[in-house]
Amino acid sequence: MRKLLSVIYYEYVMQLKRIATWGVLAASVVITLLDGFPSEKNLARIEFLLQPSYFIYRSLSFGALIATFGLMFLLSNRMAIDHKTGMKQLIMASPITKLQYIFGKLLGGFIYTYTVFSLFLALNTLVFYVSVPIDIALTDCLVPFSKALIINVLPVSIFISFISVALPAIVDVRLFYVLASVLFILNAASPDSADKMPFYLITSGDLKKLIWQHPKFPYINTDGIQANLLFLIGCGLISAVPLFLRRKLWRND
Amino acid sequence: MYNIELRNISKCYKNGVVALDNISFNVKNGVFGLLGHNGAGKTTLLKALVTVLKPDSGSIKVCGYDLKSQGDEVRKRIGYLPQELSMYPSLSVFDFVNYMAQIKGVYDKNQVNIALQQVEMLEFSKRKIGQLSGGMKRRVGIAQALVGNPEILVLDEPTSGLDPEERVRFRGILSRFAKDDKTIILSTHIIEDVYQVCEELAVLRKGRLFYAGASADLINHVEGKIKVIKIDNENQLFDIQKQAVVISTTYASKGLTVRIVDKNMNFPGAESVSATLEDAYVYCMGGKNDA
Repeated sequence: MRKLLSVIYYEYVMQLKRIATWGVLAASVVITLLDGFPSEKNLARIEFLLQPSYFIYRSLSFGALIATFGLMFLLSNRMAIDHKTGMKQLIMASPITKLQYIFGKLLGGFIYTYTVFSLFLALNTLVFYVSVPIDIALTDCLVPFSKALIINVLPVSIFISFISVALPAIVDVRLFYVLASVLFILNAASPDSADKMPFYLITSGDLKKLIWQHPKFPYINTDGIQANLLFLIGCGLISAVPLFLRRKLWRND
Repeated sequence: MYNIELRNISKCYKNGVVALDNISFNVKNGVFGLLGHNGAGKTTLLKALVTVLKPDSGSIKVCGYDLKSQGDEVRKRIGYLPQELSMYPSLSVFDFVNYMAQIKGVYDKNQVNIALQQVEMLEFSKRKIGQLSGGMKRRVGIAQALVGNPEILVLDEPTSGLDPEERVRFRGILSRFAKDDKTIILSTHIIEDVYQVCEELAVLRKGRLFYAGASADLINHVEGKIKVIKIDNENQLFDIQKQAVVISTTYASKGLTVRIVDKNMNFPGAESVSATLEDAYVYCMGGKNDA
């Protein structure tokens, strides 16, 4: 167990120490605030921007997508790089099991992703709370923030970290980028894709509707929420399975 | 008793290359050299020894433990430095060695400091790996192998790319470690390193074991046969190559000096010099032309 915790801890530390991590975080926060900062013009442009829950809901639609792609990029070589640099040989020559190594990498990536998304939401929410021109109770911000951390960020982090760590270890990392890009383009180019298949919108699926709902459509589509949750967690977990099955990945004990 | 026993180890890769062909030898305490050209099978043999690669046939025992059935016991007793190792550049020296220590099951941070002290890197423990020179990185690599005080140290080409000062420092580290009844397997193609620190060695050639035994015995094979000849031009050199194994050729302003193994005593008038390990090794490998 301690060896597993060591791999998780150092995976987490190594990723957090990358300057690019903070670049991705800064870029996504800035882009979110450019879109939703409670300035006079934005308040005139966006109807519900005075509501903290709507601000968080909106943050998950736009800036979070930038963070998603940045994190996918940063996580995608976590296992491949060990192979290239000789670190995998060194680790395999130590008394550590394949399960400890793979789980360490996956969970380290998951905690890292969760941390970055939490910071992303926390920074945005803090700026909103300080800058909004009306009096808002702190709890009005903390409640939707906490809901987002559990309802949205948790499954999204599983999806992003597991897929980004696991798939490039199985397929060529370039193919992984192509797959991600095709998915993104399909999503962006289809005018009604968001309505037909909201489950595959990584940070903006139906789960998001549990944080804020449009007053004109005050009902919850439980099927859509379940599909969204199943898609995120299911894809994440399924993508990790080939890692455990692939014999070439580890020494023959 | 031997610390490492290799019996009939063979390994053939999927592309048909026979990397190891029926290798058998024993290793006792001290520094053991593994010599051979690039592609001779040294790295493959070491990978098999540290359980990273499974041989097709044969058996290996490390400290009395069978590698196949007691792999974890073997891994607990081995410190390994791979040939090509680019460590995590964002980690500090201490963090990297501590990470490797914890993976080995060593959680005492004092052990990490001891290992860094041994390689004279303690004062740089907070520096990031990415900011170190090549020699310092190698020392960190050795520190991670030393951490936890393993019984066996397996080092694959540890001195390649190091400057002479770093190599001397490295040999000092090895000698100090070997004093405490430890075993070090040092794979290299730098004969000087083996000559300075190894009492015993094995020579691999194209996957086969060419020699295993004491360094002194290997030198004895060519003692009395090493000669130095001064010649005027390269045409004479070609004639010499037909009759003897040429170890080295030195070009001077007037002519050439050729060092040869005169196995059949074809050059009775040439100056005889004492043999070195390099002479014996090059002779084993078939001379300068074939080397």
